[in-house]
Amino acid sequence: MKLVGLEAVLFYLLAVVAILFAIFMITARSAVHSALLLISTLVATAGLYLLVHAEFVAGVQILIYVGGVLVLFIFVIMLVNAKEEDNKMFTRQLLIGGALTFFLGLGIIAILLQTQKGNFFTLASPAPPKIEQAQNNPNLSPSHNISQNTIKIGQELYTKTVLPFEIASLVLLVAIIGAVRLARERKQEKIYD
Amino acid sequence: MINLFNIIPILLQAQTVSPSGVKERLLEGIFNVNINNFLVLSGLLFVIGVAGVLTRRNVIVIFMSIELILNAVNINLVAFSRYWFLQSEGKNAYMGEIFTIFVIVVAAAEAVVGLGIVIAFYRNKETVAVDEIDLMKW
Repeated sequence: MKLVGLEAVLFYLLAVVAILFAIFMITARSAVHSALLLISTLVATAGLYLLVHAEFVAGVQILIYVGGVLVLFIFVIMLVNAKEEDNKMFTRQLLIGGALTFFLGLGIIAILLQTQKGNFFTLASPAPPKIEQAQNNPNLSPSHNISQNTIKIGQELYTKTVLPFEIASLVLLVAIIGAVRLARERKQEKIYD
Repeated sequence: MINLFNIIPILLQAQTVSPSGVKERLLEGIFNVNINNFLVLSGLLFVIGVAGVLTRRNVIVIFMSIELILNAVNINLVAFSRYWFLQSEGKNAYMGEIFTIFVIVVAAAEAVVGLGIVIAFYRNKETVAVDEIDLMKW
């Protein structure tokens, strides 16, 4: 897997945007600012998915994360009326937490350097597979000319991974019921009783 | 535009290669992005997320940091999925992306339940600061 030229420039641009906004997110004073900066990071990540030809995952990222989960976060921030954290933003464990994450980062970087030194990731780039060459075949239906990513993911999702798919729907059902049960007020419970 | 992660290993091997060879390999290494760059990006995002979870006081920001951590893992999965797609000529090439979709589903469920708990707690104690959530502390 190699990105060269303009793709490499785009990668660096999106990566810098994602990391900078992530840092701003964990240091923002107000929770609403944090949510907006997290949206920026997630959109930059969706751009990275497009860069590696994962179009369906990029769409899901925008629709579910940015359109669903982050809107939920912003709703909850409005509901709990979180005041500006004027006195303290961080817990008392700021130094310990900072040191722990610093060592975690050092460890991850050391491991990555070690693996690259052993030429683990620098295999020769193979010829493009047949699936991509099929895009130029005029006998296929027009949808094949755009991208096969969504088609293939749909096929594998409904054949090989049907059971996890159904379990995921069960997880979502449990989450809905749990959220309704947890967020309900006493007044409303009395009405239902 | 500088790929530090390609520079360091090339310089480490500088003793064995002639100086002109080192320069050539440096240029080649800086201007292409391989899977290692994705791993570095995802590692950095992961560390930033962990820092947010360990140090912030607002529960909602902690939940957002957890989303950031899961997002970093997703970058890894998608990058490795593409890598395997190019290595394997399309066989089992989409499992990484499907796994990513499941991670997103679980993250959504986790956020919903967690925010429900936050709302229920706020109704009792009028706060969202983690060091004041001590009802079960003995």
